[in-house]
Amino acid sequence: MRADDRISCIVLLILSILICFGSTKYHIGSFNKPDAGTFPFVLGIVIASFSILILIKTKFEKGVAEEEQKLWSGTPGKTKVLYILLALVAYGLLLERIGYTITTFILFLFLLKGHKWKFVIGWALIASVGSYILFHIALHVDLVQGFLGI
Amino acid sequence: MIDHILYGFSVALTPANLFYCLIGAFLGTLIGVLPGIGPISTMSILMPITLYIPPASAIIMFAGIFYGAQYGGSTTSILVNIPGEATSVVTCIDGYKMALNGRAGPALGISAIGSFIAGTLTLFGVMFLTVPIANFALRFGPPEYFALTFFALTIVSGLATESTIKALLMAALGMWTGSIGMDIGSATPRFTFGMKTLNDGVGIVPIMMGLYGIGEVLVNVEEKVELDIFKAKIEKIWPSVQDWIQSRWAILRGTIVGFFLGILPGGGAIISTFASYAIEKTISKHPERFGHGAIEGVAGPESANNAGAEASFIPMLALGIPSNAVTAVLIGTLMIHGIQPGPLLVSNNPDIFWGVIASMYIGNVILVLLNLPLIGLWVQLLKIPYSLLFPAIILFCLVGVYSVSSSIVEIFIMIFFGVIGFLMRKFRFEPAPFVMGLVLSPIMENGFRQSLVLGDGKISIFFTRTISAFLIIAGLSVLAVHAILWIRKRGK
Repeated sequence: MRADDRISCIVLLILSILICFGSTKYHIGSFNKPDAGTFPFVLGIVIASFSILILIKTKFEKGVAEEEQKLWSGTPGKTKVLYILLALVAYGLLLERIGYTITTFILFLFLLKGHKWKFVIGWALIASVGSYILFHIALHVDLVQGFLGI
Repeated sequence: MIDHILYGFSVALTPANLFYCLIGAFLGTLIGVLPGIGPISTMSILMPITLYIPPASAIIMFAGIFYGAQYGGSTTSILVNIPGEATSVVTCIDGYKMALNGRAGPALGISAIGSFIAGTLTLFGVMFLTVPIANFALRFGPPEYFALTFFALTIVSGLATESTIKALLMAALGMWTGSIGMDIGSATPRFTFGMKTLNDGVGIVPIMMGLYGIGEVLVNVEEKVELDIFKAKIEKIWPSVQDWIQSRWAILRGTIVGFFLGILPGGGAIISTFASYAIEKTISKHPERFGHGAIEGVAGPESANNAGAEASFIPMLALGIPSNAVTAVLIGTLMIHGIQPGPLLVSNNPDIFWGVIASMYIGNVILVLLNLPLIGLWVQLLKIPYSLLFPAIILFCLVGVYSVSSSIVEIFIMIFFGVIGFLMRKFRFEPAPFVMGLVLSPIMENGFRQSLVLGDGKISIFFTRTISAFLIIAGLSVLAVHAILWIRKRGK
């Protein structure tokens, strides 16, 4: 049995139970008069059924080589993904506090890590200022202006 | 009909719409060439910006991106042996071999010209079929709409490359996500956890950008794909007389296959390329040439993918039902502009309907003119390291999602769905059925609830109406066929 299928289906099974339980709070109603909880409840059952089906199906499938089951290509890849996610979360938290241009500049400093520092600073500047001109001035997209007004 | 087409051209040939068509075709070719970003993520990123332009212009630009990506995807398939798009996977087989044999030019040329011929011929089908289908759909009631969405989801899941059950599971999950927010019938907020932002539902923009923009970036960064670009000079782009003789019927057959498979919900453009290749190889007098640089192996699939891409507009324009994730994004774009897609689109918004069809003619011409002379430029673009490209993709996603409602919550929703998109790919689930389920959820739920009210709570209402019964039985048959095939495969 594939470990990735087992993990994902157990998680989805738990989610489906929560969906069904949550739906009961919105009145499931009856066949004559379906209510707000009817559709999500039915979907919860469908998700649970398919999750169980996949678990049963994978039990009968031939074993797959461990190499083929590997979810991650290596620790550096995993670290890079977490790094990008942390950078994005930090961007979201800082955006309305310090404004679009500065936050974008800082974001690019993090995302371009690994290149020469002059290159990184140069591109971060071009990206933050250039995108501000393109989106806010040329395309009139509303961007957050921080304490420096940019 | 002629009047309608002329009206469409009057919409498509305005300087503004010509400009958007050109931008769409250019961007489409660009992202088709660049691996790691596709038409769905590009459209998702640009979706919020389209709020500042008329809806007809937005759809014209997005249509250009979609079929432009089909043209561009073949370039990387032929030169790098990595498909720029899923619809160009098959082109790698013979296209790259032609490049290694010193015939990269004719491969690229026949690919562009075949796509142009297929695209132009398919448009006749789009023009002549869409209105009758839309008129027929005006007879649909709630049971028919429920049955149609059920059928669409079973076909999409049935054509999934990984697993039918996993695709159905994703479709159900997408439908549940689509049900989050205020229930129209009872004004009850569902699964909002007290967050007022979610009362209007989870926005399609952060979901699409998360799943396809951020999600793809995370996967590409984690897997670190390297490109080995074909380095010899590309000469003689125009195919020879011999190339034409070998390719002409492959182009025509590819067009027909792509057209009929493209209409079906479920990634018709992708399936049509495989079908076209299989047909060409089967009927060829020299099948041993395939896999070693047979030009029909490029001409047929490339024609099929363009025909399939354009034919997929028929259910979208006529019924408001997406046949793949791209048309789901197009429907989402119409919805954020306050336009209800469906059979009434032809009469309520003729500028969008006929303008988009007319723009496809123009777009096909633009794409041939862009692709052939600019091949050198596209090759240079392939050399941009992904480590420089992905920060720009992320920036576009962030700006795009924030610009919709100026809310930080939308950014966090996008990041959340970015993680979901990443995990989907790692655990071998496909995002396309999820997106289909998301878009079809309100149609399906309304159809379901209204049908039960109409039928006094009896499920038989779905089977006592002819069209509804036909669609439900067809959908169940698709699932049954897949179940039988799986059992047989396991038996071996």
